Amino acid sequence: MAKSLWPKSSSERVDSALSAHSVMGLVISALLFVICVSGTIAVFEDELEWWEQAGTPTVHEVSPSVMQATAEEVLKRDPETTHLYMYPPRENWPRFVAGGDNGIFVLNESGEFVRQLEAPWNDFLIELHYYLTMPHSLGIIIVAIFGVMLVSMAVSGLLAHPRIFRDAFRFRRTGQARLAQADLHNRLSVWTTPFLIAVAGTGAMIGLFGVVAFVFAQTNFGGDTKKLSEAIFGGEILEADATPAPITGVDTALINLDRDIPEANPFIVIVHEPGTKSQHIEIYGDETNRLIYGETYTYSTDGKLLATGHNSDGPVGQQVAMSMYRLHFGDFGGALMKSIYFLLGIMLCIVVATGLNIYFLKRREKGRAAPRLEAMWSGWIWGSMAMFPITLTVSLLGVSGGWLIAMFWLGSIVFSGVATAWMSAASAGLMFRAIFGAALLSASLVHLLRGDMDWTNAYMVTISVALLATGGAFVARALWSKRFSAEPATTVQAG
Amino acid sequence: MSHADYILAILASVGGIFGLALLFAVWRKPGRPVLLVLGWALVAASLVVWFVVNFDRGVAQVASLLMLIVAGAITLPGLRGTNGLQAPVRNREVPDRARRSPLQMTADIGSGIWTFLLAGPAAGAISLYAGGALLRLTKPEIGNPTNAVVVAFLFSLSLWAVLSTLVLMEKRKLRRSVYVVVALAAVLCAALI
Repeated sequence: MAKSLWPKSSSERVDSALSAHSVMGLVISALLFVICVSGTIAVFEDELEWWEQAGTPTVHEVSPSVMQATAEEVLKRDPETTHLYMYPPRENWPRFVAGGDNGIFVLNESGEFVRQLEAPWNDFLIELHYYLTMPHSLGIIIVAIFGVMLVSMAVSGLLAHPRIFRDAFRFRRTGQARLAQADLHNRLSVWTTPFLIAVAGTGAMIGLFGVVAFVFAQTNFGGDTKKLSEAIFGGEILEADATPAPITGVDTALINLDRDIPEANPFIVIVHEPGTKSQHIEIYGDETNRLIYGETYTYSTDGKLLATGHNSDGPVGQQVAMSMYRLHFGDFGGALMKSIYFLLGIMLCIVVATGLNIYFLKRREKGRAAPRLEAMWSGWIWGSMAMFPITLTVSLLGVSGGWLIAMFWLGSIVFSGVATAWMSAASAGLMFRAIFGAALLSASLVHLLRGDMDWTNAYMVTISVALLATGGAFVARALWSKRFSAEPATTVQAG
Repeated sequence: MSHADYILAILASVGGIFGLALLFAVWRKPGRPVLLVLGWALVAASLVVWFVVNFDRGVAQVASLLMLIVAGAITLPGLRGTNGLQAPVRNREVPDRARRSPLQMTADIGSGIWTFLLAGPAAGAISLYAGGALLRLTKPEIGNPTNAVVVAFLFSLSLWAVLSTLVLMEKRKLRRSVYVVVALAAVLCAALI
């Protein structure tokens, strides 16, 4: 066997690290799993949002004059708004949506308002992943702390892994169950460590910005959080002046941007303080070779370039801060990159799930088996998984908002409770996997039956086919499995 | 990206995958340091080439791809099922442990909550105020403080993750509490006074 290149660690330190890893895992795994699954699905939030309104038009290009007319129409519909948001089509996102603070609309190529943008399940998914469905100001902090704890788990996991190179490619699928689970857990987590740290770290940075800004402002900016925020993201470009003024200049700004910086690639246009004298137009350009969210160009209504954000060529710190979003959601290479992130996300979910499996298998080996807790964990994993397509199905039938949230949590708890009371971990896993598959099938079938599917739209067709195929595979596997009605797995007493 | 960039990027990706394959070969049959170095060099080279053709986005793209390929290739057989909670496990017989008194159980729960508070919020407060103290040292008198703020932010979060682990690794409860309280007092002084 190869000699380990890893610094030799004392067994005491390894034991301590392992114990820290286990304690942390026991405390955070259940909710961390939900955050990881919702985040994995949220990689496709744009596509799923569209899928929920599959009949809305594909748009490949929008002219500056249409953008100007859209801005005027949005302000007419939402006169109280403080910002107008317009999302022209871009590569990998051929849609046109626009709106204000009180609603977003889907538009067609000529700027006609087709319908209000409504994607209740996508909204629920975002509520779950960003805030764990808690009040936003608290929820985002709690979720971010889970991000820090996930990084902490990576640290303790690496410290507890003295054979990291020796076992680099080892995977024993069968044989002793704990070793099989440990191999799966360790191989996936070690090889995806950069992804894990990037996703958890960026999530923590996004969510904890408010808290950190508060502390840093206290210690360095005389308690003024605005100063700190302006240091990173820049301040207001124009002094506020609420004197009414007609909304103009969106078309001029876009024409001038195309003239000044032809490669700017605009994908968001925001009109600040629309309908007032201080209104100005901020345009985000997609830098397709950078991780930054976008470069910003701010124009006055008479087409003068007032400021550039320098997100791509400003201080390194600013570039790092502006790269958090794309790095977190894998939005840096179209559908292919998103698919890779999705698969890496699934691996992260497996890492979380197998972590507690190892704990339970260790307990069994030590003669302290906890079959009820095992069943509860299995029920939670597959029950909460099943609740995603179940809530999707009911949202397609018209349920939305708080009902989806309540249904998700209650359903997950019921699945877990039923498993605890009446099932073994193995049978709960098998049965709930079948339910998960059936729910995926039902979601895609209900979507088809609604009749607004655009069969020429590759995004919509891909999502529907993926749901059908995945659901079908899970159901087929469950039906094939002869262990479906097997007795609970029991421990074998040593002779 | 130009056509030449795409070709370069594809070649670099193939090189990276080949590098991973070399690492696997060395793992299977150890004692070949040249192949080991070559494997890592190819992986590193693929990251560098992707940086050249697509900057930081390119590095993130190829790193994600390589991670997926290697983790997927190793664990692919797991799709056929893995021995887990469903598998029978040889179980040692152990004598029944004496039942703990309600007082002991309450003490255990209290200790768990205290540990959670130390490793979570307390370690977090230490880290954030340590970041604040660092920012006091690194923030320029005049000019843009962005770099200093972001470095302090990253430092705080990393420190929080490490501190949580270290607090949990310290087995002696009193000592771990003392460490945290002393550290908290020290960083509060450094950050606010």
